[in-house]
Amino acid sequence: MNSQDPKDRAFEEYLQGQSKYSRLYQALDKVEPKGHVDATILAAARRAVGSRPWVASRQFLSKWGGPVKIAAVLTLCVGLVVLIHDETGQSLFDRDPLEVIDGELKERIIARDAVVEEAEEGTTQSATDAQDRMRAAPQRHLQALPKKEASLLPSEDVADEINLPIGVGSTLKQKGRAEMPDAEIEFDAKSTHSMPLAEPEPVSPSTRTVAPSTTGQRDVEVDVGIEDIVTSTVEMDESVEKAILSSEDWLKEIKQLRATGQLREAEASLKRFKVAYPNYPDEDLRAILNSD
Amino acid sequence: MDNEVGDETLMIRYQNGDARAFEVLYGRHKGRLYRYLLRQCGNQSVADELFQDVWMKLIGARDRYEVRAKFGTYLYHLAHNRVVDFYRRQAKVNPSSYAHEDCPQVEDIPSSQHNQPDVREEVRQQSNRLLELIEELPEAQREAFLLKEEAGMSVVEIAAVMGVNPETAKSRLRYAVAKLRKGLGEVV
Repeated sequence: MNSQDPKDRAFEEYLQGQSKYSRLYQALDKVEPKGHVDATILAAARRAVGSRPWVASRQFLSKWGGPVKIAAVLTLCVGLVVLIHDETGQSLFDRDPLEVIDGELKERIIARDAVVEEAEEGTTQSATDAQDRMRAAPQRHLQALPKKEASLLPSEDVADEINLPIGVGSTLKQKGRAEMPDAEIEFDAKSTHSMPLAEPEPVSPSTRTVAPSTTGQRDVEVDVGIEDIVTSTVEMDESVEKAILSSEDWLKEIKQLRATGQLREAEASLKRFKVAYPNYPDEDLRAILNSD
Repeated sequence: MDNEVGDETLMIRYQNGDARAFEVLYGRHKGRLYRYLLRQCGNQSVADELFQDVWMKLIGARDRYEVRAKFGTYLYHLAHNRVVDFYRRQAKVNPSSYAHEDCPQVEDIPSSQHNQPDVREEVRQQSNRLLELIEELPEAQREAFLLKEEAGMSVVEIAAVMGVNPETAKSRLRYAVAKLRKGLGEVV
């Protein structure tokens, strides 16, 4: 071993990390990069991963690919519908509100019509009773109402009595006019509509009663459970009511309020109107409100 | 906790968008890589530029990174390529020392003149002398020495970084040590 070349021995020691050269080298100053260089590199590193386009994994695609495609198709369809409406100059909101409204609100409106019809029919004692009974009703019975039959019934005095908010969708509109406690509202033909109603649900005999028609033409079966039905109709938010009313109807209502001296209410209603119809021309507004 | 995670894992995390993993990785390697580059080129502003280039290259190549070897080997291989590019631009040709497998220029290095009584001062002076001697080494030998000292690499890893076979790497290292030894005035 001692006969090994000193150079080789020194090199072997060096490879094993035991040499003087390594110790001397490690004793040198530990120079570091400057702070701005660090900052530049770290910022670039963060930027690189931050701006990196997201690539979906195969697992993600296999799980969500289908739903994403469906969503994309639906979005495209809705976009096309809106575009077509825009290009033909016909806004979706120019249509009969019930064609646009769907779901719970639609059910509420149908339910309210049904209650009015029931009241008109005279199957129950008073409108107040009907209103009370409405508060606990399940809405699913609404669609059981035979609209055709109900529409045959007289109505005008009942609307007043119940004090129901009457808007678009009321069968009363088909009659053209309804009396309200503090306002008389005319309904235009535009807001009259036909709506497909579901077939009546089969109801047990105990829950049905036969109401004599005041017209004497025919008897109408009305679900007794109807009184439980339309709670939310009565409690319907006024703003929803206003939204359902056409702008002209609303303005007429405001005009009526003014005419009857309810200036504060008229003012409040006008404010709500302006919120609901921010682009309504002022000239037209003034013309309608100031007309005789 | 970050200290327990391997470099390769951190790089994979960074590849997957974890910028914090890169910060840890950078913190681990920045000093040694910087000194490796600084002592290779001998100029601080050039070292800054090379250092920045190497990390930018790593950032840009993150998507292609695969764990085939130690991360350090990968990083220093990038640095080696950048340094060789730098030498080429300087000399317009490859440094000759990279072409030779053995480097018989030991006798060119001057002997040390420093003999100081104070040990600390002596160490400091010898360290500075060592630095001078390192700067005087041919590029390939210097690189082999720096990879060993700064990156703590074995001969095989040095060979991988430099793209040569282990025998060549060992030969370069051997010549480097011999020159340093002679330069420091050691008489065996």
